[in-house]
Amino acid sequence: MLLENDNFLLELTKLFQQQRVKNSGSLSLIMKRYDGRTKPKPKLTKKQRLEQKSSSISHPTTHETVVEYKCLVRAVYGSKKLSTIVSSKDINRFQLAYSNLLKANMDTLKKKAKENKTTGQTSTNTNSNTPLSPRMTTATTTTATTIASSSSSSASNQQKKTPTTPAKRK
Amino acid sequence: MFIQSWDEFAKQAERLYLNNPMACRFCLKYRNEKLILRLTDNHTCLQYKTKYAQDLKKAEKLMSSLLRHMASKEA
Repeated sequence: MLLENDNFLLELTKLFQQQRVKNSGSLSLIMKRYDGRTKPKPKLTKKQRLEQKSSSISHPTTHETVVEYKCLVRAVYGSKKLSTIVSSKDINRFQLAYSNLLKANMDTLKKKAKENKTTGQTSTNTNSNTPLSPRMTTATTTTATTIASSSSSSASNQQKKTPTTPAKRK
Repeated sequence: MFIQSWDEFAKQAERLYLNNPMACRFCLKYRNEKLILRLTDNHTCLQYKTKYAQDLKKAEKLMSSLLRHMASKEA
């Protein structure tokens, strides 16, 4: 369906809402440059081709015509198809509205996990599966930290045992 | 098939588009938790896949600049 710019944006929001509700199917958005032609470009006959060749040789090509291009934007969801044509004077308004629309509606994407710092500080990962490691002054790997933590815990256990035994002896 | 880094994709996309602006089209496909960007001129095709929200912002910028260029007046 060929619509006006504003209508297109309205219908596009509806498509995004439908996709959110159904939670299935893909929404495709396509952008392409358009030069306003409504008829297909006919192939030149042999005569016309020869004329074109001779004219281009005699007159060096100096394009002075100003061509105003437009942009064709299409949206497809399932069997629903929308399209609109944006010309250069509407481009500012359309571009703002369009980018706001996309940012607002494409919200099911994940947040990127922060990278671990090399100093061994605890990292706040939203998607990682690594367990929180205790703070170490030296840079170590996670296996080393688990070994270290287990050794430290065993040492503390031994320390706990030694004060009790002299108490019992007494 | 899919370009791994965003900068690579952006650079090649600009090059491909400026080479032949009439023939290039920029497609964006959004399905649950995945975004696929594609710029093609019917000879070569550049694709980028992502599932992160920060890439959406970058894609936004690229889209806007392409949109502006496509609908511009040229002498």
